[in-house]
Amino acid sequence: MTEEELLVSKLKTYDIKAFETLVSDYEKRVFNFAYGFTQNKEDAMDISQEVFLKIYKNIDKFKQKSSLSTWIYRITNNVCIDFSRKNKNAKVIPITDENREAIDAISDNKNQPEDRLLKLELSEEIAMSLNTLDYEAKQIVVMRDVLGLSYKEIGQILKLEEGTVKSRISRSRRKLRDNIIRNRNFLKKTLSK
Amino acid sequence: MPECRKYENYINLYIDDNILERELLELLEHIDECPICKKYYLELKAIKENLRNVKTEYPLELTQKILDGFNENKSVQVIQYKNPKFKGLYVALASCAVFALLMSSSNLVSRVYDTVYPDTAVAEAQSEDNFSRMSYSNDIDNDIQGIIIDEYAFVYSFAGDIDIPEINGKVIYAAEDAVFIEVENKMPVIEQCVSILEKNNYYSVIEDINNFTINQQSEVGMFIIYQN
Repeated sequence: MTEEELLVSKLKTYDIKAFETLVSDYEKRVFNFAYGFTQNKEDAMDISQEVFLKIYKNIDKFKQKSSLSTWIYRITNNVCIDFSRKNKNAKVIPITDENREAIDAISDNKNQPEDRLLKLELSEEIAMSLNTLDYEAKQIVVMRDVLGLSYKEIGQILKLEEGTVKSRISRSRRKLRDNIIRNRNFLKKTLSK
Repeated sequence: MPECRKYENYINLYIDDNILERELLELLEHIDECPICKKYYLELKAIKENLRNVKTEYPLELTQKILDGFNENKSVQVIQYKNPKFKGLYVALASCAVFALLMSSSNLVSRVYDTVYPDTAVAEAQSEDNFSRMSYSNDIDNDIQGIIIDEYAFVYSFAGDIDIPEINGKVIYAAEDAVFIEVENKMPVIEQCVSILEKNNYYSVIEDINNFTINQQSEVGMFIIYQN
């Protein structure tokens, strides 16, 4: 019996020590996932608590067809998506013609010899733009680029073929990049008023 | 440009360090000639590098918050009702604590089921670490078994159909094939508490546990009794 199988068998007997081990092994990963998703510490804490409660209540249904970490990430992802559905406060800035022009312009090397996107401070803009992504795009960006999960792991969590994972990553990153530019344009417009 | 679409995929594979050598050579050749793709590559690379920093200081109080969550939900801790294997039953009288719980549950069980199983006679219990099991039967084919957890008596494995009065209640916990339901009139014990089980499968998937209503026409396979 592997160490993981042993842990799972103890969890299924509701051994509190086993749950403490589980929390210690996975709390940071769960929290980082939730934080990547919400960009909010308090929300990420609430989500983490709910994830572990779900594990606690559903451990008897874990058939070990996937690894424990995949199962936990899957639960975390589901809780995050539920959270997003319940908290639709994040406003997606619509693509207007003006914004579209800005996106096109910034992509056009002739008109923008200086790489403005790269010159600006990105971290905060990325966090803000990540928040305005739809959850399908957000979940995959968080898994790949925040948590550094492999294509295979993401595929197992989302039950997707690796090829689909790759194309979703590509699509989602483009959305994020467009969001960054769009949000920047929106901010500039707001500040200049 | 249409061919740039292909290189967009290569760019993503490249920044993920998952590109084949052949693809990489092709990509490098392309971005050397295509400023749009080169720029896109630099943008994605910068975004990816910054995404690694989308983390915050880990809150030290989180561990306690999670563990507190377990404790608050202790009353629904033991939901091991599938295929129970009693390791050795003994009569409830053996344990005063178990006896007290069991007797109140048994009376209730009798009240609820007497009309259906007037011969219900035997109550047995098994004490385990943090819960008690009870078995209540009138014959081999019609067992009512259950567990007692904190203030909950949880009866399950009820074979056969039964007519029950309509009952509305707030579901306070739903598992794959059982629910705890809190009804308004719960003193001294809840009159009836049931879960709906789909025909043949003896369980139902409950989507919205807060607005779940028992339907008289539903087939019943399990009973859950809430004691106050």
